Amino acid sequence: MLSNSSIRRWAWVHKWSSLVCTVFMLLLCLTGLPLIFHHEIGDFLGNHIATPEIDHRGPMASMDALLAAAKARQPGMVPLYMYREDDEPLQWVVSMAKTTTADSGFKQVVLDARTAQVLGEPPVEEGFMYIMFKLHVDLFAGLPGMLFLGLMGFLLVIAIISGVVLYAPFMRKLPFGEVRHARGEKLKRLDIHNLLGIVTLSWFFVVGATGVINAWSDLLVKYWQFDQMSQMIAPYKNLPPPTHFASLQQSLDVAQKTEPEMQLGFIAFPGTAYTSQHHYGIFMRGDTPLTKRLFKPVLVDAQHATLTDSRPLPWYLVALLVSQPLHFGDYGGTTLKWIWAVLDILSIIVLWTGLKLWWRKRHQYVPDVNTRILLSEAY
Amino acid sequence: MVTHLFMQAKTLQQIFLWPALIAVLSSAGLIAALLYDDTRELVSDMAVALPILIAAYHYWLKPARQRAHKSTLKKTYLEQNATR
Repeated sequence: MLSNSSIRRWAWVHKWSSLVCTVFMLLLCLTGLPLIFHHEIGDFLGNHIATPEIDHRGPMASMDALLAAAKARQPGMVPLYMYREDDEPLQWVVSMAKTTTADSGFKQVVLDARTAQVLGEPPVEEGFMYIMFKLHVDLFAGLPGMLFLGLMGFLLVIAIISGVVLYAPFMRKLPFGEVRHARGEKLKRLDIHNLLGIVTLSWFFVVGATGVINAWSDLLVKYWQFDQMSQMIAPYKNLPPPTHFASLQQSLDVAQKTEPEMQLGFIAFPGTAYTSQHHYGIFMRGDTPLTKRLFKPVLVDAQHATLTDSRPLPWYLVALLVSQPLHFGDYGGTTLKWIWAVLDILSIIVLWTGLKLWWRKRHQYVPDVNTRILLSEAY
Repeated sequence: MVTHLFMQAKTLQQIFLWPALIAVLSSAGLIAALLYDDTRELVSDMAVALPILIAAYHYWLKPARQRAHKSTLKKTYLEQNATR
């Protein structure tokens, strides 16, 4: 068992690590709740664009036709990324902006993969879900906001660990799971905090820690650029950016030939964060639940449609990609999402009861033992 | 019958037996759900949901059962004493 002085030290760590992060954690838990169901809420709000049922035989539309259709819809804009949603395999989404380095003013064009017809443009950067998303990811403050929330997440992890250490002295004479309903508000609150805190331990720890990893995602991608991309594109170092681009479909075929066992995940257009100014970054993926998140970049020369380089992702990006589903809870079915939501609410209760225990204690005037002995002389 | 007025202090093993079991099972569920997406999904979902079930049992079901138990005790006591 812990000595009294180490209990006091752990209590100090638990109190301050949680006090600093609690308000932000409450915000993250509350904004995270609708984000678990962002897909379902999007459908409900009518933002979901359906694929028309048509009798289509023959091959899919070429990538060049799809890209041309997107560009015709948004003249003056450049494509950034092209990707598919899991639940709409017959659609391609092209995200676009004025320049490849823009950080606002994005557009999305949804296309029919069979006919290259524009199906619609979902609203971007607006609405309730966008506000929830920004509050959850960076508090509308860009990279500094993201790193700040990452720091708060780190404090949460410390609070969880110190909480587990303190669980022992609190539970020394209580059976597991005991909630003292009839012994006053304070003990009941303490027991609820301890019970919910200890049973949700794994989940809260995993979601907290993977959230911290996610806060570093932008910097990890930047580091990857510096660490690996610069080696892959070394021969292009001093060349001017290309003015004419080779066929996207041809480039894709090159990538497919390089990785015949894999399928296309997404395309990063020249100049964006996931590729160079000279290359189509074609990201291939596997098809099992785990490998479909692990991309392999194939860099294809955007001027000549020839292979430049392809190498597997470094460990830190693998860690990031594996940690993402564990944070989002989107890797199982609908059941898992509901479980995620309930666990999220239980975590809110843990945060709230913890905050209230501290708040109530502040208002209690308890003179220390020596003062009490002195004061008892008075009457 | 009162066997003891105060609970004996538990050892660390006794304190952390249940929490460790729950932690291991629910993390196994979290990871299994990442690796499999067929019928085994049900098993992993159950493991991830385990904390919810245990918390609900201790918060609602157990006290309710204890209350029911206490009231039957009281009833038998009153019945036995009614004849006196």
